[in-house]
Amino acid sequence: MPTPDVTPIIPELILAVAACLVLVVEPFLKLDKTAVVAVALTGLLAYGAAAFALLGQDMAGFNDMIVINDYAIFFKVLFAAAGVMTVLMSPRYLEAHDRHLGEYYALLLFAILGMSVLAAARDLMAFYVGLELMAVSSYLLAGFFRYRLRSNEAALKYFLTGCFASAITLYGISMVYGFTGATNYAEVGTALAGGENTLGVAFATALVFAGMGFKVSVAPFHMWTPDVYEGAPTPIAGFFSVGPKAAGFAAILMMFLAVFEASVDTWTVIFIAFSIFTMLVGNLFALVQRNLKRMLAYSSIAHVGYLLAGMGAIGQSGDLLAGEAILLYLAAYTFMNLGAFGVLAYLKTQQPVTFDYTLDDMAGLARRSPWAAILMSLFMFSLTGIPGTAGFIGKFYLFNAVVRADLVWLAAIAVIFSAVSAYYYLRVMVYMFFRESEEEFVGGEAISGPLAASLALAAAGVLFIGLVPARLVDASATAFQNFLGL
Amino acid sequence: MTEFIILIIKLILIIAVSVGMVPFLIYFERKFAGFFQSRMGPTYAGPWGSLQSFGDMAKLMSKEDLVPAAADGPVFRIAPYILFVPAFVSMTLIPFGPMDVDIFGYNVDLVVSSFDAGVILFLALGSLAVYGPVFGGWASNNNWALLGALRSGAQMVSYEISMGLAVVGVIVMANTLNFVDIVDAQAGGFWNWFFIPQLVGFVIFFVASIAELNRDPFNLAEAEQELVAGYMTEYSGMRWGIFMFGEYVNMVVMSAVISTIFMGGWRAPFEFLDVIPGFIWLVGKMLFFIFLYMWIRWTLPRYRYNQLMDIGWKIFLPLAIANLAVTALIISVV
Amino acid sequence: MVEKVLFIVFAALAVGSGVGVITRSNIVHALILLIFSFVNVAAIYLLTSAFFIAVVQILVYAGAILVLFTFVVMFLNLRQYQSMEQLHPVQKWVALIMTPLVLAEFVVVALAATWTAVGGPFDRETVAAGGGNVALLGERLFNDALLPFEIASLILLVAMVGAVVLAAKEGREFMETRAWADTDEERIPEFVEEEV
Repeated sequence: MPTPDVTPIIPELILAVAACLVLVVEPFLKLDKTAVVAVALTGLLAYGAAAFALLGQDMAGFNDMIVINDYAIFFKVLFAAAGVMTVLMSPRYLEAHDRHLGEYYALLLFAILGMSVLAAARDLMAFYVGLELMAVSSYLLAGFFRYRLRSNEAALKYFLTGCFASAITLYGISMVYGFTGATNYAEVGTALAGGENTLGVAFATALVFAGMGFKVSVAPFHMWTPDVYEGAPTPIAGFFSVGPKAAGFAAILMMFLAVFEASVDTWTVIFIAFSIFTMLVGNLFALVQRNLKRMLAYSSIAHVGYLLAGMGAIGQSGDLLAGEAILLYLAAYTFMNLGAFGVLAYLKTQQPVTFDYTLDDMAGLARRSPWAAILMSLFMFSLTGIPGTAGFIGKFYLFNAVVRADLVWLAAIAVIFSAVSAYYYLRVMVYMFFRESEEEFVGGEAISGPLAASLALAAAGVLFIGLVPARLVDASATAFQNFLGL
Repeated sequence: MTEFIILIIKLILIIAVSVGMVPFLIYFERKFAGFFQSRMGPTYAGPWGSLQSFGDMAKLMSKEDLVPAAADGPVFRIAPYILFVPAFVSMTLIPFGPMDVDIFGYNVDLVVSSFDAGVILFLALGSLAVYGPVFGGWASNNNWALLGALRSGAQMVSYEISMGLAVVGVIVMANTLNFVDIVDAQAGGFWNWFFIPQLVGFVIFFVASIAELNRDPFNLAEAEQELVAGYMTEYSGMRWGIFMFGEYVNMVVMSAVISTIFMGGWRAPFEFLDVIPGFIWLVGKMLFFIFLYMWIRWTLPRYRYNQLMDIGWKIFLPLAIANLAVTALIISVV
Repeated sequence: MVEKVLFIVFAALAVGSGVGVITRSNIVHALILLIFSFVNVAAIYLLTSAFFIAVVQILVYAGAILVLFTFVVMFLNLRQYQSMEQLHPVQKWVALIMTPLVLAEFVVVALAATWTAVGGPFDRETVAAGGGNVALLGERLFNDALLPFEIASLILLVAMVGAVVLAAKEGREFMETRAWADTDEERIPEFVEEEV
């Protein structure tokens, strides 16, 4: 029996070993879980480093099921960054809830492993198992606070809708297999290019879109998002809003460009239509939220809407620019959104009982904890898309690509919605800087330790991408062109 | 057409063997019980009480068939028969002798079906056998019965895992899932039988099979001191008899499977003894294991339920996995 | 001919008991019908000479998964919820319109399509020549599909870890000392008195 070449999955192997190591180390520890955190962090850094070291490689392995190329590596490094930030902001938060267990980190690493496979898969089977690994770990992380009703609710909702979404995706995939008799992306793409089964392929496209739409919370498949983000542990909610979304878009890009190339006209219309609806729903519902976690959930839906517009632009023009912009946007979004959730996690550790993530709880924050208020403002500016921050660069490139694809009206809608979003992002700052807290807040410690490192990383990412975007723009351009080379 | 007739004859023989043994097994069980407890056992009906089982049968058949008013009628009626399906199907996988034997001028394989995935089919059917007690106990609508059903289900599911993993060692060594090929891999004398290299697997399989059969020391499902009669509490008359009958048939099948997997099946312990037909060896080995089952039942006290689960999950399961790992390692190195 | 008749019989039984599953109000009856349906599906696999798949169908679905279903049903004793009112009465009517629509779509697509994958590279002769069902399937599984196989094993590991995380009991002392145990809404469920 031939021994398979493991080069394409070296980063994943490192991650799997680290996750298992976490499970092995955990039983030997009592209350102090520093060792577990260290193992998880080392694993994530080694994973990112290994991926980085493979930069420039372009090879497929395991019967062409998985590839390692700049596209996959771009996402792997992004996931590693998101993972490191999530791990760093977790220990204090979990301790404040008396639920600091090592399994948390193991599940997180497994979720990242699934995302990593999802982004690198070139075969429907590998795609699906990656999706499921990510999903199953996510359900468990959402329900990690098993004594909290909200957390249970979040896990159950996520689980039920997620299973449904997986089933729908799988049904679409099975139809594709039925039409072509192949599961490899390239083979399927070639087989479908013949132009047979137009109706069936359109149907399968719609099914896969609906299933993946659930995962990345495209309206109207977004219903679970606010409840899950609200109930899940805050670092995990932040992770959900960036990690699985990025992985989902990595897979969507590949699926729709490689597999469903034949039905490009169908899915371009689908993407544009759902983009408008998603922007509408996300932004309008975010306006009325007083709970910050729910507001960020709806804002993440709005951002998905912008990304969908980018997908529509690719379909419309076949232009590389929109693909690069999507990658860039995902990177910018990862840092700013995770940072915002990180600040919330910090605030919860300061007032474990009274802080309830509402706008009123933010009142007077600038006086109590100026650093937290400044960081939060930075992330809110970035989410709005104020120049000088990562959000601006992301939106600029994305909307530019949409305009170039002759979809000026779509770009105009997106810009208008971005302006609307300024209201609910900047309102947080109004509360932080211009409202006085009703009750006197005593004690509280400064942002310190791993959490500080996490927030510093997020802020640095936001500013770096915002002020010197050239490096990342180049990186996403190479990554995406490399991907199109197949 | 002749093939079809031969198949039917084989099926009838298989069923006849597994069912026909039961009245005698019940008689033996009672005699052994008497022996182990320093009493006589049945003596009245027939010479040495040998017709006792038939008397019992007549009694059970003439009793009223009670279905409790609160019971779930259809399920209650069907449940006792479920045990037979896996038992008979498993029996068709067991080879009683070599392939291609010349009997009255016909070429006959002494097995009903030489099935590619026989061992897995056996395990799959074993998992179906759970439903008999479980549905019987549930349909009775009685607390004791439901508790017995749950216990029986949990116990069978737990021990099935160790049982399956214990067989995998043999599968790795024989490199096949077919019972016929497993027997062939043990040809040449008793030192080639798998119970020697797979002693751990053999012991785990045997003990797990006791749990699968719901027999003492693992008969928690019908522990009479705690649960009246467990899942059979509401059963009476012939329906109860069918349950008991099913358990004995399953005992026959299980002993046949153990003999086949670990003790060379129909093969003689020394090659010069091959003159004696294979099925006699097989039945002999089966009787040996049945005797072991009875011996254990009437000698050992019952385990507590948590002990039962501890043994299954904390001892047998890791042991079976370790056994498999070591076997696989040795096979791949040698 | 015989095979066709057998197929029709098994298919009818599988579909018939499947319909029974969703129409029975008694959940245990539905379960029994579901088991029966799975066994019939296994029989259909047998007819196509997919022996290994047939056995796995029984082992995994009829055996393992439905035993767990049965346990859940029995532990919760769901019989008492049979008459529970529907929470969203409107949904029934929406479903009544949507379901036939979706079904119609499926039927139209299925009829219009040409299914390339039907048949596949293996017929009875090639399977027999290749060393049988189990050997061939093993080769495909552990060579061609090794990566998904290994990841699937990770999924099972994650599920197992998760079950432990969500279900393991902590010491009582630990639970009473947690900081937020006295907030009203989020009290530990085990400590909440059941409201009647």
